[in-house]
Amino acid sequence: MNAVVLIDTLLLLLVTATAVAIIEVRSLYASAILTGIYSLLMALVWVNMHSMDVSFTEAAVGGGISTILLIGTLVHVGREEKPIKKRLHVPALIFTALTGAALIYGTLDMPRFGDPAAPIHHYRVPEMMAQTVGFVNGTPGKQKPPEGFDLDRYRRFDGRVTGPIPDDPKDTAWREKSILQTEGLMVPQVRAAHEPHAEEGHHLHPPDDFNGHVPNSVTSLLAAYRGYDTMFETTVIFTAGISLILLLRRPRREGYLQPGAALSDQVILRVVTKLSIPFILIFGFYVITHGELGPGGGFQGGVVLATAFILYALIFGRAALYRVVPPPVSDILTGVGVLIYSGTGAACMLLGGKFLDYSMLNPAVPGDGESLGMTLVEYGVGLTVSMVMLTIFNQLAEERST
Amino acid sequence: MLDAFEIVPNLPVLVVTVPLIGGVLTIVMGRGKGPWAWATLITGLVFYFTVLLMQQVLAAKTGTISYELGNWPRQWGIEYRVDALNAFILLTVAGVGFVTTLYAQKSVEKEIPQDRHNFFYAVWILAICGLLGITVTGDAFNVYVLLEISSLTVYALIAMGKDMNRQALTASLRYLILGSVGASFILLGIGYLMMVTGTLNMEDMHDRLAALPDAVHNRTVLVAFAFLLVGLGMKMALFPLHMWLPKAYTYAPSAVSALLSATATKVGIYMAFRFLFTIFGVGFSFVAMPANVVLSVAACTGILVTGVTAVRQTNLKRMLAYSSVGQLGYIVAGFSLANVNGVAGSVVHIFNHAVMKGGMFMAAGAIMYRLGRCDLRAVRGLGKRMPLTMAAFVAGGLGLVGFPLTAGFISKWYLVQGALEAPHMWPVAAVVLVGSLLAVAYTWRVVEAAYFQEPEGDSALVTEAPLSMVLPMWILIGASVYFGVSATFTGDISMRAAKSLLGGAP
Repeated sequence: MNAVVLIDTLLLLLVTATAVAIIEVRSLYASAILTGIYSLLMALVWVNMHSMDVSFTEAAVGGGISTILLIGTLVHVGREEKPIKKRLHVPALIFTALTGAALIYGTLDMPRFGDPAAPIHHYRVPEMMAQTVGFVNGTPGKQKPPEGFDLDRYRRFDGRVTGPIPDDPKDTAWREKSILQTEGLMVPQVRAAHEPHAEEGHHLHPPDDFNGHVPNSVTSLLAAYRGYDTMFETTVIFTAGISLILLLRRPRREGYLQPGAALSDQVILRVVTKLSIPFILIFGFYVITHGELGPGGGFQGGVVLATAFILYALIFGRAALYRVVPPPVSDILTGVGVLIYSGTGAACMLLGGKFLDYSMLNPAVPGDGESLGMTLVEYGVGLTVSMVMLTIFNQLAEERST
Repeated sequence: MLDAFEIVPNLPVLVVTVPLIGGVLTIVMGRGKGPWAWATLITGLVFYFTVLLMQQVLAAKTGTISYELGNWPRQWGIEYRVDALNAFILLTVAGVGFVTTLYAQKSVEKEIPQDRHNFFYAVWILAICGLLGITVTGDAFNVYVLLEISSLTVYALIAMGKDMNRQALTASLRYLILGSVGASFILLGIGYLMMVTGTLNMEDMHDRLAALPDAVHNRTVLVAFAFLLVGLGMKMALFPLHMWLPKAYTYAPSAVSALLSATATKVGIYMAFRFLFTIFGVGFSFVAMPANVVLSVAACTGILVTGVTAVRQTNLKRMLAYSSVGQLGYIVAGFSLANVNGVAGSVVHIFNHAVMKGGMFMAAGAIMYRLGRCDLRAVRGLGKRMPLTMAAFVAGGLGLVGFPLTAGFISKWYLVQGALEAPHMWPVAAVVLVGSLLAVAYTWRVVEAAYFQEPEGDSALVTEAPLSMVLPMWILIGASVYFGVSATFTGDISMRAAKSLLGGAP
């Protein structure tokens, strides 16, 4: 048994135990803390699977902010669960058992974990990888550009296939006419990356990692290839925020704020908070900006930014927070983030490309345009996520009107 | 900057991004009539786009329009793929969305606190955006993401229902829990399929599944199929997974009930079309797997049970809600036959039921607006006091019965034909007829109260609902009558959609 399996087994046993404990404990406070532990353990499982971005998100969202928000809800619902008579609900038991059995049954024909022959690895990914981990600058771990290859000119090519692509794969006339060929850029690596999905009118992006800007393939997958999904994930967060305002906000005539408890008479807490907030903010921005290079991105960074504000509210009171970010401002900023994202997409469309075709942002150097687009949308995500987390916290902390 | 931009090639994405951006901007539209006027503008624009899109699809040589987001090849990125089927559903959802937005003004003014109309309409537009997004896409995971948006918005909209015991909150919570369970099954199903096929594009998935040696005995594929069936059943309120629906529709604000009954479950059924026909294919779903038996038994039982339940209701909205589950049963029974007439009947009934039930919920909402309740006692004698509203209700009810010259007749005609053509499926035809009799029974109870009983209490004093409610109501009911008399357009589109579904990939 190798170390990975050993650690995984241990972690999953702990996860199961935590899950059982969450169900069993009667104290909701303990249960909220346990969900934080659960997420932290899951984050470790993801690390063990080498999916650092997922792990970071799980730690920041699941282990961090969700726990704070769950504890926030306890303000309204109380710390203890109502005592209920325990009895066996037979249909529920059957349903759960069946679902569990089906889940296990479904794994029997799954490709083995990490199997390089699995469809998920060999169907689309080789082309994608040829694109995202291309030959840039000869940095370690990456392919060097072929001898005599003009990298600068390659980065500036307009990779649009202009003519129709024939059905017959042997008919390669289209390739001869493409700019790649006439410019002398169609080296074998480039061809391998482009050929499988070449279609008329398609943009053939430079097969490097967006000119070296986005080596993190998770980011290029989430912000570029499937950037449209991510835009709507951001919208989901936005929707959650405004739905909560719709349902929970006190009527305006009663005012936003009832005096809440603050810990501002605690000198140590006050000093430590003031010292740490700038670092939390810088870390948040770093995570958003750095998402192109390593684990991180708008979601995680946004959550980190939000924790700075929430910490401030916890120690200095919500009145102080409302002076910094009044609710009308945070309401609008939640939307601004989504608008930055969708606006970037719309700008690409208005410039004559398709929606979210970032290369339109810099037609001279398409790869740079892609990278610019991804950075913009990551900031959009970060803004919406941080402001929605703040809104959720405010709405939960707000005393309910009678 | 704008000279390179053209509307027509970008139609598929405009249908979704215009309500997205419009929905977000609603929150800065002030507190008076602004949010409503903005919502009307946006939904009207989207409706116009869907009409254009329909024209494009009908004119397209291949019958499909493909749009690759971000200009990425479809296997890497996300593809929008519009054919006759989803162009028709898009048109239905956007059309009903626009008309219910017109209708919403008065009832929202009364039922939702004034200081949050901007948030209400923002969520409202995003709900329509989510439903349209599910319908337009050709990517299995994109379906799930938009499903999240439509579900979340719908939970919030239902919870805004106003009544003394805050029943809407529990109804919404119940839907939230059951809906999330359903969505999780759908997500697991998509994940399992991706693991086996390595792709998320629907058409690509179909090809890869077909190329898979022995897909019928692949246990991962089987579990994916079962999970998707359960999850979709939950989302489209297929009996016996419909438990969330009656309360949700009963306690939601009137305009929300009208919107949801006409669109939300319909989009659930559309998803079932895509998963069962486009991804798995007829051969897998209906020949190798017993989906036809499972679905038709569930649907037929649902038609009978909920029909009987509907007859016993005294609250108009709850009666309509149970009737909706039954009507959804017809749609499911139709496509479970897996022949051209059955599927066409099911597609055409999606539209027909949307306009009929939407109009009827609007009528119930108008009664609610005037009287503050809509039980059978309140309806007594309303035939004289609110003639237009009650006439709309009765016309819609006739459609549910399947009376000739109403849209419901067209649907049932196709369904019965389909049932008689399919081997051993004649009981479906019988159930369709019995279901119609049950519809006669519950519609008659309202007719009796409205036209043959004397008004009592405040019912005697009410006047007709305001024009801004009656007009949208009659637009939908008028459509149901118009498309009952002249069913060429809806019938042709449905036949075309049915043929392309049964032919495999779109």
